[in-house]
Amino acid sequence: MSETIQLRKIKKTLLKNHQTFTLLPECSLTIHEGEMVAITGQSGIGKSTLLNIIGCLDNTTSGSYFLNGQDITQLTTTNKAKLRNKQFGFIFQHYLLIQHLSVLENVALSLQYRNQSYRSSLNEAEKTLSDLGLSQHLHHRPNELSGGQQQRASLARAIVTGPKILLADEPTGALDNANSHRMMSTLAQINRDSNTTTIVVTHDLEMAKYCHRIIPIESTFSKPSVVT
Amino acid sequence: MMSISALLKGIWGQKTRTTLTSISTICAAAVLTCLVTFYHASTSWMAEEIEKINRTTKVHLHIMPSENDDDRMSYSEYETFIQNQFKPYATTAIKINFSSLQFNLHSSQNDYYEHVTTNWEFAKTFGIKVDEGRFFNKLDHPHNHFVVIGHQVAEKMQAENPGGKNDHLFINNKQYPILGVIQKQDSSLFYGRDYVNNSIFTFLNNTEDTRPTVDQVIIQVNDASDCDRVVKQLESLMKKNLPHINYQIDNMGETAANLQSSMGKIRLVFCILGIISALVAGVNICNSMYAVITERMGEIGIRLAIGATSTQIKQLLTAETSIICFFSALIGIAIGEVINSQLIEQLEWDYEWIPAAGLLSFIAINLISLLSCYIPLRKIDKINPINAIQGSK
Repeated sequence: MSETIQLRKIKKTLLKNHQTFTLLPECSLTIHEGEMVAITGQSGIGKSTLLNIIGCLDNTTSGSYFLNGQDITQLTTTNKAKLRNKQFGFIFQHYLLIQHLSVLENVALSLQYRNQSYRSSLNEAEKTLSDLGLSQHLHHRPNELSGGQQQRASLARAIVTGPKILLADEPTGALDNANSHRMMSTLAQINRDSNTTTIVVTHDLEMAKYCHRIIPIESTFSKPSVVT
Repeated sequence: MMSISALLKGIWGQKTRTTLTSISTICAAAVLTCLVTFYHASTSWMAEEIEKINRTTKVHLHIMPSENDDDRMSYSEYETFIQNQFKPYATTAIKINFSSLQFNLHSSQNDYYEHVTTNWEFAKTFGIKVDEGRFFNKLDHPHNHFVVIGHQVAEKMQAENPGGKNDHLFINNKQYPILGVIQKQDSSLFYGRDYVNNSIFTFLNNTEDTRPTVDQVIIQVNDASDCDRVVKQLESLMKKNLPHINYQIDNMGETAANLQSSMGKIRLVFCILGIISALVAGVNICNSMYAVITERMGEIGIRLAIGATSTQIKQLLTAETSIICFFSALIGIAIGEVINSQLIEQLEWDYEWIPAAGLLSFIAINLISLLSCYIPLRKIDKINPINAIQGSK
């Protein structure tokens, strides 16, 4: 298995009111292609920050990040956006669907940003949503769906482009136990079937058991240091 | 690829912004259309007036009324000191009063009409045509007492005595044969005095027994540029030969020049008003766009997270604003045209639909909307997707 993601001495800090806050302690990490990994740790420890850095949604303060051998820290904002669209699929804890668009349009959106035609993107989105059991809700607004259905719509939006890496930030955080297990088994199935590298951030160790590997982030940071 | 339905949903989802942008765009388009059309109508009217003045440019010498006969200009003084000095030009002397007029002797009803006594050059100076007969010439002097009547006087006479022989008129109970009827005149040719159609004209002579005085001398110059020279010459002649007379000189060439300069001022005022209304619309659109970016920060963050570039998001928001401005501009132009047609009708000018005015407003409004979007949209380049998503929660 080749190394898809390589993080070397990655660190994220925030300077505010002459005080430096550590959002992510220095860490190094390697994730291989087709792996399903869970990042665990207590709340506020930097799991989501790490995931955002991996997904090119956030920048690092120091360290280097290689994706398939390419140094990501050197990319421009536009190139990062293109990379997100081509390589990554995102699932968020609070679904983050656009409320004024239908479920179908939400899912088709990432295809449209690949300059795919409106009609064909809708067709592909419809197929993906049907595969996830949402064929009855294609034209519903997100707020007309239950939490589990919205999370499946969010999953559909993440996988419709056929991403190489699937990033899920607390995907079961807002779901009940049955829906949480259903979501995790779906993610595991996608990982098996399409060899998609999957990274799941969770604080729930029971959900983390669906993954091949668990990476715990330890509380190593100190109190905010004062910059002089 | 953006779909129209997705764009419309975005517009519909932002009702406050859509309403505010629409109102400001409609107002600006209406004002711009009004300004362009009104400017065209007013300057066309003024240009027509200037052209008329230039075509028949005159210098008017008004003799101020006086109780003392010695302070007035006699006809013989006019002939000696003025008429002879301005030979190349058509020069005429006029005396204006009101006379009691009867259409026939059996009628007990007396009407007062403007009675103009003048010489034969009057018709030539004003370019007046007579339907029948002729205007006065020197052969009429001194004993031939004829009248020429205005068009409205002739019509009234016909109405008073239908089928009768209408060849005489009684002015102050003295009978005058009618020499001719003046063709209906364009009153604007006389600049506000619609007297020609409603006047009677008798001959102004210089016999010793009557010693008529002159109220007005009119010199028609060949070219507007001659006016100043004629005015100076006239002032010099008056000072030298008739220093006791109180007078005033009206220079129509100067009036034309004043109108011309007014046109320039009107253009400036209209341009300033147009710029102000465009700026107000632009600021409103700009403000709405800032509000939209703030309000839709979460959505922008989601779009960025799923792989949209900042350019694609800017295109989306610009397209939404352009759709609003496109239709609002059309409505504004229609409203502007309606207002304008009513306004121009009130001013009794000729309303003319000018497609260029609408087109100009349409292009201007759409350009303004694009420019107004540009500044707030630059903010999107600096948005971090995660901050945008977290900030909207």
